[in-house]
Amino acid sequence: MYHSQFPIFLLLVVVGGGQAQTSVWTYTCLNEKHCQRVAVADLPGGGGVPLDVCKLNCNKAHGSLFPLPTGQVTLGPNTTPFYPGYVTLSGYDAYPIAVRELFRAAAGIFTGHLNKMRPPGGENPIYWNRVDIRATASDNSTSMLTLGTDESYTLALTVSADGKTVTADISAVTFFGARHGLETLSQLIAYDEDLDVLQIVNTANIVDKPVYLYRGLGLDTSRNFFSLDSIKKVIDGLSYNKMNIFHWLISNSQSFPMEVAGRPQFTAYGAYSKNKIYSLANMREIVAYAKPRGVKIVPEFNGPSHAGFGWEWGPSAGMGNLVVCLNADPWYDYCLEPPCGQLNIVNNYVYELLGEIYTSMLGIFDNDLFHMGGDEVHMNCYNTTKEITDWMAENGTSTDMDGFVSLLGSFTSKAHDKLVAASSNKDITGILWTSELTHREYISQYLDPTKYAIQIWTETFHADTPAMINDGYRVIFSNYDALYLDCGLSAWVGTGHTWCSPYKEWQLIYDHSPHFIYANATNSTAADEALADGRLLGGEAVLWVEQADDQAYESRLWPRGAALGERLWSDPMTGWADAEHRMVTNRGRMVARGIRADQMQPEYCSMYQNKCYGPPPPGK
Amino acid sequence: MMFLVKLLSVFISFTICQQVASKLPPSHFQKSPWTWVCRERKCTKLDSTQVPPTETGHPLNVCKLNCGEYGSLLPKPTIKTEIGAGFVPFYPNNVKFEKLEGPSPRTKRLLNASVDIFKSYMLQSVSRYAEDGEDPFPENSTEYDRLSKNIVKVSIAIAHPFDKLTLNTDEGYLLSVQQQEDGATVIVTIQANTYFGARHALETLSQLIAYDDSKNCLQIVDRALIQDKPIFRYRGILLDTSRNFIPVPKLRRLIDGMSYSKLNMFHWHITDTHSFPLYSKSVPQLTKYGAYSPKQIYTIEDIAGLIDYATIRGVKIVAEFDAPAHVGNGWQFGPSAGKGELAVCINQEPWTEYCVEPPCGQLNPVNEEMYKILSEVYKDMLDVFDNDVFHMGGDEVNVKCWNSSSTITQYLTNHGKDLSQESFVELWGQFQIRALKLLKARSKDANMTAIMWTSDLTTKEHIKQYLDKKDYIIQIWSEGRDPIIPYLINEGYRVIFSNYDAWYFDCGYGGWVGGGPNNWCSPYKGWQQVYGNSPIDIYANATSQADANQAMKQGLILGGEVAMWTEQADGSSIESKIWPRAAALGERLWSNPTTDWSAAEIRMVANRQRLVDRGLDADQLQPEWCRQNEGLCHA
Repeated sequence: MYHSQFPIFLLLVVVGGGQAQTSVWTYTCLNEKHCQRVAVADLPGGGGVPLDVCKLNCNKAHGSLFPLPTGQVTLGPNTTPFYPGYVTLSGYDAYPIAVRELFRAAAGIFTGHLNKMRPPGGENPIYWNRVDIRATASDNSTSMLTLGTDESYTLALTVSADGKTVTADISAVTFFGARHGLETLSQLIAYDEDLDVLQIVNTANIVDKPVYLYRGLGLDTSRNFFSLDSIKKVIDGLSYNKMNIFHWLISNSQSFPMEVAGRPQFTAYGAYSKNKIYSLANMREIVAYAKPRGVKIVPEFNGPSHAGFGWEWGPSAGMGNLVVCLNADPWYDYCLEPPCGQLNIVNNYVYELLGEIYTSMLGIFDNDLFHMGGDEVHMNCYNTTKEITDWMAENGTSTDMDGFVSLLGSFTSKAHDKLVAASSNKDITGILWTSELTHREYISQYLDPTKYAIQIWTETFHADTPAMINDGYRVIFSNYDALYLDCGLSAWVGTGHTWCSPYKEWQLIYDHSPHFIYANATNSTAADEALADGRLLGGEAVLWVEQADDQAYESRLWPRGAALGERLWSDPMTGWADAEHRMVTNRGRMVARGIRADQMQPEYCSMYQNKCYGPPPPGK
Repeated sequence: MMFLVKLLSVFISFTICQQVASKLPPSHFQKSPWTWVCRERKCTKLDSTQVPPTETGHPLNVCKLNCGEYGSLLPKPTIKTEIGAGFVPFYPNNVKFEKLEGPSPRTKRLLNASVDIFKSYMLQSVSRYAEDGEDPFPENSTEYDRLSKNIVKVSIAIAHPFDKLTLNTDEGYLLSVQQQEDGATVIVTIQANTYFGARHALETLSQLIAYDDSKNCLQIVDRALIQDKPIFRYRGILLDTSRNFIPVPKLRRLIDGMSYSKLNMFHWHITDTHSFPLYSKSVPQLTKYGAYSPKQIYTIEDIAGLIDYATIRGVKIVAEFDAPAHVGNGWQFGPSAGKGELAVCINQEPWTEYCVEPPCGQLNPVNEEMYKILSEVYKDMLDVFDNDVFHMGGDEVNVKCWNSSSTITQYLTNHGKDLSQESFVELWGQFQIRALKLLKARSKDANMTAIMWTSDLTTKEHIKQYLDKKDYIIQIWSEGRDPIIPYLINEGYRVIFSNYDAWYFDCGYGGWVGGGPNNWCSPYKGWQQVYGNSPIDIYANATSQADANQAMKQGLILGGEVAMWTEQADGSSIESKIWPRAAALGERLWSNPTTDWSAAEIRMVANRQRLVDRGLDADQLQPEWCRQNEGLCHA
């Protein structure tokens, strides 16, 4: 893949020396469906094209578009050759500056892809054809991406009678729809290695909009630190797949890498090292990077559990214990993985500091959606901490599950008050992970569905899921048995494999439909309604990083994340098998753009698209 | 008195280091509140204001150098390991290679190349340098001049001029590090019988040095005496470059990784049914038809360059040409060239009938033209690869494929054979006998040894008839409990272990044909399992410890190899799939530890960070918290 950046004439020089140079193979489209390798000698009249060009529109129904558009798709049979220098983008210059700058950035990203596919260099005048792109949005009142943003677009491609000009018309309601249109357009362009030129499908009509509002990936940056470059590459990958949420699980008990305005102690004590800190400027940079890529950052500050290092300075600052059970031993009596730590929920300084943290974060991130965590609070930690049990005794709180949940409920409610106080938007939604508090016997007692959305990480068919949707909660699906990307490796404490093994293959992820899961527990009419009224917000695959960091995260996230991207954008009626070729092509496209996505199959399978099928089921 | 001098010198260097630090941009040297002291063989994180006067805090990497019996050495030495308790700070420019004695010009060239690599390690240990290429160490300052007094003098003596790595090469070495009475000089001596031992010693030496980020200088342990040699002579990694093409720079990085772990055999599974990326000078059609594209070819220059690159790094490339199965694409040109079908069932459908995975293909053993071309392929390969060992493949022959070819069934009938399983095995056996003859005829080494995978040909019923133990080494890929293992060793065959249930690195992902959560050899083989797979124990459990010791003495248990098959990996992901798991293999085969993985965990984690500092995309084993809090991530 690194070769493909070089023009062909350079390659001939490199390979040179009388060794194999030109291919004996070319590609043809079989049955308007599959690209297949054929010997050039077997096509005496010509007619073969390079594989990437073949894939553009061989499949008449959808080419290699990914994710699948949800409206009409018409692709013409022909392509027009052109060079990146002959592409213009227009339509948005008169927009308000905030929106205009987003358009300009998106245009720069688009032309960047083209230049990467075919770097500037010697040109053949017969391919001096123009591609004029007009991208417009009818509503330019805001540059903020929210869960209510209209992300739809239409794309029309036409070619002039003389064949010298291709016009692309992208028309959307918002910038965010228009940038998806550009993403789709980029998938109708391929590098033609035979002619050393780009080819664009020259007639097309596409109408498209997403099925789900929330299409996310979650990345934990506490168990191991991730560089800003890595986070930006995650956002790149999201944008290629029209995924719109980057859920940044920024801190945890292992480390506190996030700068908090006015409180340097958090990172001084909590960061793995002085080089492993996200400064306020770094976080602003990420937000700014994500926006023109159509991605919203949903930050998470998890509490009261999953907090530990970074909070240990309370006593020396005269604030008492901010965190309890810190590093408690043996860890398995007080938490689910080492090191332990939970906020001291009976210390009022904790809430003051939470308020400062929220204020610091909302000074950077959007103020409409904020993840409050709330998972895996360990009852035994609190029940063995004298400060807490004394408070419970004073306040008549029992040490059983009811008492424990009431503690959680009271913490959550106080934290939410701090969140609202910190936000300029009083309707800010707090997202909470499923926990004891969200069990069907407790949830409505403690959580107001207008204030909270629930991210579900329990197994797919857990009975709490339909119950909370029925009760009006907005939900995000992240069931660990399908959408946890860290599963399948060997354990990192002790022997055996990690708790959520086996590995979640892309096929499983692809078939994981929130609508289906809810309909399965109720009926399809109820699911249609829940989708329409926004209770089925969408889904998110999560990469927990006990066993990943800068070196290995990309091949875990991709291409599996893309499978979820299509599920949530398109929610196709068909299963993974119908998406396989496009998944493979899309993976190649991501790699060409610099994402080190894992390989799914031998390259052979993409050259003979209908040959790598599975064996018949046993007994047939 | 000596103690006082030493103490003074350490104090002076310490002060100098701090002054240097203060000259550098503040962003790089903000003071961390943490430091580490060595307690009960574990580096323990403390608030630096709370270190008792009886102990000394160090940055984590420095603490790890000599905390624990083996410090952060991996693989651990096998004969003698003594590591001093102190450190000497120095700048990398002050490492002086005083005597480099190589008994031949070629040995000297290798040694010089090794020394350059060693110098690059010292800089790579500074993460900032690794990232932006900027030399972090100050020059042209008075502090720099003063610290320049601390000098590490290295001399290396190699006794014998062997410059090819074989299965008999002595890879042992003796390494000594000693701070002198002046406190400022450290004398390092390396003695080895061969270049390959000497380069391993440099590898070990590099693991006794760490970057001190609190003082911006390197630290070397003040004393060490290490006597070391490997338990197993064959310590390998297989990489398949046919299912997916792996670019040459990635192959170089694989060899880099092997050299860090003292692994010495890169088994290059260069071709398979899917593609033929090897450039064949004699039969270029193989490459033309077989390469995925003209860009995905290994030229002769690529290969020769890699072999030299590997030799410098103590790695031998063992080339495989797998036959008669696992061939296909590339061999289609026979009919159009008037040579008949060179291979049969190429890309035949439905694949499920004729092979174990798509696409199908097997050599046509009844076509004389095929043997001519096979001989040319051997010639092309032996012109560039070593001639003493060659992998002939030989696995997964599918009888149904041959049985579907009328040419082949006709041939059998004409020779009075029926179409039974036995007839086909005999046909295969005859193919193998001929192929070995062709290979030997092309080899410049009369004692060429062939390696073969376990297969239907290596069973009790067939092996002695077709495979002479003088000619063949058997590579075992079946399960560790397969009774064929003790059988082969009892019969005197030399073996290499690659039992898939511990040493296949492609396991644990979803299916790539037909979906499903688990590919055939799932689950994933964790590093702990890789570490625990002991060839000696496997054999001893099937026989007795005495038999195992005897087999080791006789050189029958050559070693082992992990396999990175690449149906579901390519240049984007092989590195994190191979590392750091293959480092666990490195210790298993170099040291044959009697302790289990848990005794190696701290060193594995430290070593993984070293791999990353040197530029490898090794996978992460644990939260960094565990590296910083040794011993606390227990089960």
